[in-house]
Amino acid sequence: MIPVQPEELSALIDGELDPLRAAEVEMQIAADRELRVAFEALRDMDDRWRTAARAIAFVPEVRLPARAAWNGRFMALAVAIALVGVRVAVRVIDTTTVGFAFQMLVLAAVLAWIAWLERKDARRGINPVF
Amino acid sequence: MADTRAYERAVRPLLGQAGAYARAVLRSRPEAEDAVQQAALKGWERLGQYDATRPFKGWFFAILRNCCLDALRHAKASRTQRLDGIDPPAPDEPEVFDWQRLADGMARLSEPHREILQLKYFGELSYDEIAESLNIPKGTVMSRLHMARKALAMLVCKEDS
Repeated sequence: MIPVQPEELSALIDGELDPLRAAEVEMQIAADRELRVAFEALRDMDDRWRTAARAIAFVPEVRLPARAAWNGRFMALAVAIALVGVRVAVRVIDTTTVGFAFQMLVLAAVLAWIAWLERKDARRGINPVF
Repeated sequence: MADTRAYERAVRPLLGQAGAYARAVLRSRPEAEDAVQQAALKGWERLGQYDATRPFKGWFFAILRNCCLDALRHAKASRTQRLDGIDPPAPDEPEVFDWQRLADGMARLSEPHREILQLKYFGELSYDEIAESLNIPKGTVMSRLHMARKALAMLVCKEDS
């Protein structure tokens, strides 16, 4: 049987030894008075410290940014509709100047929308999720 | 873990321990709240870098630890202390081993010992999670934690006597 290493006493208290080794260490502790005294002193201190540390646990309020997935999907849909709309309008109207102006109008609208979404996200900041 | 909802579900049960850990490191509840908030945001931003085969708690506490260290550095640099947020000193009750005595004792240890004990007791991390958080092998966690416990025990015994 391998003799108990000092750090294995800590690991036994923390439940970090594999079951086989834990059983071996427990047997040696039971058989060796000096080892038992050291183990019990360590376990008592660990209990006190653990209890003391748990006393300050508190749950802070945590906020995460709002999910942007839907904004992205709406944006993609809007751009797709705008592009199809421009193509259809150019075909229907069949006037280069009017078509160009219409395209510029749609482009300006899309850019304004992007700016609006950006500003909205910035204003909204972070949303509570917990 | 690419999903934000999964991240929220994973972080939620850690908040109590994260709060305790940050409060023990920063010794101030408001600053601890800020640090945990920052860590949650940074974790959310870096979700793509998370390796799902590694312990999530260790990964999250590595971020939280950095946030706490940043807050400490910032406080040192500004050389000011907010009086309203500082936790009051522990009352004179030698028979009660409260968290402030524990944190005071840890504060007098070397940095590696202090860090590992804070993660173990306040964060309640397993050896694997501590190894992930401090980026050290699990065997080192085991030996360092034992040495740190012995060092703290000696300090506490000296105080008590």
